[in-house]
Amino acid sequence: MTEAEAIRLFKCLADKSRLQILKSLAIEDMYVERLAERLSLTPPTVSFHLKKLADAGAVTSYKSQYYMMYSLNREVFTTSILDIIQKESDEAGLQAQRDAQYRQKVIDTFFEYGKLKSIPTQRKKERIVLEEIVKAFEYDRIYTEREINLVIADFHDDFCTLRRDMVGEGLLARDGQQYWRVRE
Amino acid sequence: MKERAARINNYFDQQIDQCNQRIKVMQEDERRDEANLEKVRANVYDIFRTILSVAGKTCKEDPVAVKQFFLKKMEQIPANWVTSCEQAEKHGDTVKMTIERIKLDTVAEIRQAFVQTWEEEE
Repeated sequence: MTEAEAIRLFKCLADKSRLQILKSLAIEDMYVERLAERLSLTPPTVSFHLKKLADAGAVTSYKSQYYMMYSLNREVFTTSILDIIQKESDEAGLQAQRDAQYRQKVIDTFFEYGKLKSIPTQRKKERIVLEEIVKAFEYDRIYTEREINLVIADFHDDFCTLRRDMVGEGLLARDGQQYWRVRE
Repeated sequence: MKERAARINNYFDQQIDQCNQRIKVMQEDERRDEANLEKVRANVYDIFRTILSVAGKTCKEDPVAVKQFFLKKMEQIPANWVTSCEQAEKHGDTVKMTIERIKLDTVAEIRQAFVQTWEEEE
């Protein structure tokens, strides 16, 4: 189910009469007049709701003798809400672009000629800064604390804070005096 | 003439009031689409209440002229709704069809009420 389809379905379900129609169809397939009688609605009103439900993929119809029968599209309702939420957003590309723009803005603000001007107070911004500094370390290599300090000192004098925060953010790992860069 | 117009205006007011009550109940009952359909009905009453007022002023309170004016508008105004309803039916657009039918049914009801009230006095 796409994001647009999910939105249409949720909008469609946010109506008491339509939920009552679906509850009736969950029992058995029905035609317009029967639903109208059960729910005390006029047949045109029931048709109106059925059209919306059909457009949202919640019901399907088929001809049976003189009647147009409506049935619940059970497949739609077996999809869990978690599945819908976890599905990659149609907006994912745009969101990634916005994230990259924000990231670049933070880097441009806090770095000047490769040096860190100040340590951001906001954790989100500091994380971006730390992610930028950690690129100076190689993967699959063990560093001593001194080596770590020397690399960080190229960016900022307060290498102790930055080193500790990098470990805290899970960008570097340590075992005693040995450090290494953590893979993402 | 004034009494007839007042009676029809009273009819419009009552109908609109009833629509508004139903709209309130439906909205509270999370039946917003049905509430919107009631709004469509209320709008039609309101349109023809305005037409009656215009008819009275245009025809200088002449009852025969007012009746002709009003009935003519009752043919002219819904003409587009008839076309729209037919188009919706042709394309299987049940939602649009329902809306247009409500408008047309309401016009038919207004016409009946108007003619009945106007002729009672004649």
